[in-house]
Amino acid sequence: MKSSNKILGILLLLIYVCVATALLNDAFIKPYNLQNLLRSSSMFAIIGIGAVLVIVTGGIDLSTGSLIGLVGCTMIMTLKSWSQYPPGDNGAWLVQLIGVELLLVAAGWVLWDTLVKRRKLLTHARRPKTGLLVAGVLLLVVAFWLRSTEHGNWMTMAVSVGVALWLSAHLGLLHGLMITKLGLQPFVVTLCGLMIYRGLSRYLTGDQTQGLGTEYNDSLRLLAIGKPCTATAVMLAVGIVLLLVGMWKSFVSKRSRRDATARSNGLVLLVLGAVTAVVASSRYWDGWTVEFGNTFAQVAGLELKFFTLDLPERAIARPAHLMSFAWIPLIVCFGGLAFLTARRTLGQADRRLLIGRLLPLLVVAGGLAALLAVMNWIGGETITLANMKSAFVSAEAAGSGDRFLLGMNVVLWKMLGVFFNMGVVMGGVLWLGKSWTRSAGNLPRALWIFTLFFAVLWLLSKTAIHETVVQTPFFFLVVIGALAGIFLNTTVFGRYFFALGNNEEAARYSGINTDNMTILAYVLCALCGGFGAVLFTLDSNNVEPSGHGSFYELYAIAAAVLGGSSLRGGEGSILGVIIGASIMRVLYNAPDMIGIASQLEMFTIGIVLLIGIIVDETARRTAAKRDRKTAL
Amino acid sequence: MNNDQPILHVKEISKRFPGVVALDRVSLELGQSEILAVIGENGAGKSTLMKILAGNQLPDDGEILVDGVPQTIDSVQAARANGIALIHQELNLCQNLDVGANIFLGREPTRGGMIDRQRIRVQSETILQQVGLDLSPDELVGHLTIGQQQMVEIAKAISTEARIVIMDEPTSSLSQREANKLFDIIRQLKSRGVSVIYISHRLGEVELIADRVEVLRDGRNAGQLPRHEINHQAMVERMVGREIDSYYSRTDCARDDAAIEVRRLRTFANPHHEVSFRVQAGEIVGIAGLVGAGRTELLMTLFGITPATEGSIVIGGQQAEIPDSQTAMQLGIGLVPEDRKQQGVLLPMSVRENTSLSTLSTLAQLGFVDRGREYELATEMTRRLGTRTPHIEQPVKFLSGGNQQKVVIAKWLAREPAILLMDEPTRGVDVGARQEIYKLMDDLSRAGVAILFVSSDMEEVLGMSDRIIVMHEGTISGELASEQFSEEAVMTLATGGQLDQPTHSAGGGQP
Repeated sequence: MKSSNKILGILLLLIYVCVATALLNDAFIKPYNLQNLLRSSSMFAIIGIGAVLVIVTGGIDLSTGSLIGLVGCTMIMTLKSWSQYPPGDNGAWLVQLIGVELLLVAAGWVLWDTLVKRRKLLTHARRPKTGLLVAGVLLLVVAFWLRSTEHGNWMTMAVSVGVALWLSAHLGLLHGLMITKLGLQPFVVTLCGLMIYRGLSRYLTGDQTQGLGTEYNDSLRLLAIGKPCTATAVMLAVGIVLLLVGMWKSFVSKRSRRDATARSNGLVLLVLGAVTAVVASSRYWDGWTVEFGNTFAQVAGLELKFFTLDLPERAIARPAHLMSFAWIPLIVCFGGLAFLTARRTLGQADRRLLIGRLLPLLVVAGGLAALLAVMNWIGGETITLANMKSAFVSAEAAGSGDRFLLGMNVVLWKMLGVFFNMGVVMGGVLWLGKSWTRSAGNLPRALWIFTLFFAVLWLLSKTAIHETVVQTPFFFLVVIGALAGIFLNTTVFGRYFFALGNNEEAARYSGINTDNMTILAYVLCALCGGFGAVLFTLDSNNVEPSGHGSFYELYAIAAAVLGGSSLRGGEGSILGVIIGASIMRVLYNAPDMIGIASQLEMFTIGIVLLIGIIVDETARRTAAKRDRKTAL
Repeated sequence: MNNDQPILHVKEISKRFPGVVALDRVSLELGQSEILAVIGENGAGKSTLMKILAGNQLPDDGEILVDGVPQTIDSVQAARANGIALIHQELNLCQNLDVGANIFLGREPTRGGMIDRQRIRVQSETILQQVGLDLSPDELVGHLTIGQQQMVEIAKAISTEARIVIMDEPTSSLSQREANKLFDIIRQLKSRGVSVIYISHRLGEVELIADRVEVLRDGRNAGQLPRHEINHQAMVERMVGREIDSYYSRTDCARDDAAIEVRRLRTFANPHHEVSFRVQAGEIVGIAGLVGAGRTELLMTLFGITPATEGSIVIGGQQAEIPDSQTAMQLGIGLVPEDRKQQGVLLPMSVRENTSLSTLSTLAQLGFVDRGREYELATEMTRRLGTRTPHIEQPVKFLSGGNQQKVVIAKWLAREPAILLMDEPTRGVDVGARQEIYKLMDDLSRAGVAILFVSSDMEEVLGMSDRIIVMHEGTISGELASEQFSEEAVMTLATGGQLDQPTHSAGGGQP
């Protein structure tokens, strides 16, 4: 219950960030930008999933970024140097390596048991040992077969990806072993990893930038830049899936027979799915080249034409026009929501607390403004309303900044204005989303739903869905996300992860093998990082050993935390981290869209996130304090 | 005793925690240079009362008068300003600092903005001499024995020039010699006009030094005893306030076959001492002893948390090796650990998730948890143990201590263990739930489960056990069959004495 609230909160946040950016610049929502955003969000979400798996167990992995660099370099070097050998041999080599490894592990285990533990041969843990042996032998047989038959070039490419994953899994295993068996702190181990892998990749490549050139553009690189279909097709698929899930939930599943709420929720899903599927599929009926109907709304207009054949063009376009005005009710709804919150929160005795905490924030803002005023004065420019207005509104003003001190005055103004507000509202939105979904009251709940509805409507009215290409990383994300979600929420191991993160001692006292779970978490995290590395490398095709993947671990962790994971462990959600990663990417994209110098994009993300978190946390504490008071 | 005006007067204070009333209109008076002992069972509200006096918690109702003036004691600083110092039951020393630094922690004398180390050293030396600790102030606290650390803690309290010193079970980790030294210090303090509130479970000590005894029971005042009326019998009567026989339900049903037999076992914590004993199926064996006697460590070894360094364990006639807790579980052992919040339950997780945690792999198919069966199990266990929770999705942190303990027990019952190890099974559990847990232990033993439990609650050990094993400094100092049960016998063995006179059982009035 609790985590789903959090997810709704950050979903609202994502939509807010998108709407805000789109309002500031239409280019945000153009197909090309969306397509890039979707691709990079997907890749960051994949490494974010890894971060969540570790954070849930109460650990942290700081080495992901360097690991991405090292794995990327290794993959390209492997691919380049191995392409001179027969593909079959390459495949055989990797399979053979894994097979021998398994055999060695099995042999080592048996020896340890008999010599050190003094157990009789094969009396203890017989099944895993024989499993290892059989798997090892089988792999050796496969290797033999690979060597003796002919294979295409794809084998070498697969092997290079395989080597990348093999390497990252082993690095993760190493992290896990050091954390559990040597009792080192995860922070320290992975911090050392961060430095070691970075240095190693620079040494291995001789600091030379690695790239594949154009040779693999229509083979291996398709993994990252392939364009299998457009957003319309994805929507069609999503619609059908929603339809089926809705059907299952409302008519078939056991719960639907007991629980009326579950049934009605299922019906909502069913209707949503049907609408999405119908609207999306209308693109197929009209064909791909129809001039009219760029946006979702216009598609819906064509839908009208499909049913009532004699409609004039203007009438068809009407829904699209109407939808593009959805921002008016959106602002009204959101304002109402904010007003209700303010009334509820400020009407209480805890006003002092709220103001006491937010006042420092205002003081900081005032200080920055004063600093700017002084800089302005030194630069010989007085602050006028027109200056400020131009700073807020026009993107071109950034260019005229060189008259001022440091040449970034206007940029700073713009940032302070837009992003300070954005941060404050973002924190408010985050808290609103989390609290309104939980608290009682039909009016705020209705407002919440309408806010969401109009926001989506307005965004879609601007989006040319049939031109927006969805690239391959998105599909990998869907698969990995689904697997990780199932793993974390429905399997025994997933439950153990949560237990481990909540309280390792209690988990151990409940008979959970906490060491193995920790190791598994780090291996899975590194595997996600490794797969991310493959995609990042193929996407950029230009791997600079000293910089590729720098700070990516922090993006992943930030996405996880935004998505409702607690760094203390025991909390985390896969859906949350995916939304969190998207927010991070939109924030990264937004300064560019508004015309802020790209050097400042990190600065802006930091400021916006910080202010957002301060506001969210303050609101949460205030609410918690009030709840305690009313409870007594 | 100066009777003019009490220097501390607690007036009808109350404190409620979610689900529990810890204090219900409790009053207390303390005269100048008086030694007041506050006694009561676990959970009677002593610790809460003392935490309120020391400024760690605020009362919900009532007031505190110091020298007849109402005071709000809302922080440790406020308590200190009023001349109140609390010596906690648990040690609160910085292990990485030296003795002098610990004594003056938070009020370091300075000279020109820098810490005046010379003054700290000189002053600490005087204080250490006062408490009779032969130590250099430069010694690292981490290198001291627990007993010495306790004395440093006391030195710290004295050094604040407190007028009221509260000691919460100060002797629980002291040797007899150190304890005697402590009594001398208390008498010294008294002669200097300092008042002492002394909390202890050891009624012998109370008899020895208290001027007056205040008894608490279930968060209420349960009577006072002036100096001449202080005796064991009277104190126990007021503490328990009920017939002990009806409180503990025990039917003897030990069978002949040994469920677990331990031979010459050396634990990781006490590698120089051997332990040998056996527990029959259907038998309840209590392990008594002082804190630090190695009781908890023994249970942890049997459950494989810290593997044994030497010796053998025979379970159901089979030689067994327990390198980790998974193996222990497979052998049919369950452990209800000592620290419930830290080791027993996962506080933010639900009753359902906590109940199924140790059985999860048997409830799963191909690694996927079968939610339906998990739900059934949790519902069944909640019903069987009478756990009071609104629904099984309730996070465990919102349950009372007793109900949390039931969830821990349910977790092990789900595995149907042959041997159940329980470490302080009723610590922090309210009286009603406690009785239910006793009943449950009895039911289990009747079903043939061997129960080995550690308890510091003397009444509980005497009331629930078929046999008592007493431990002292890592070894078993003696075993008592039910006809030998008496508080004196247990205490004698627990403090390292010998049971040469078997006629001890007459005293104390215990069953």
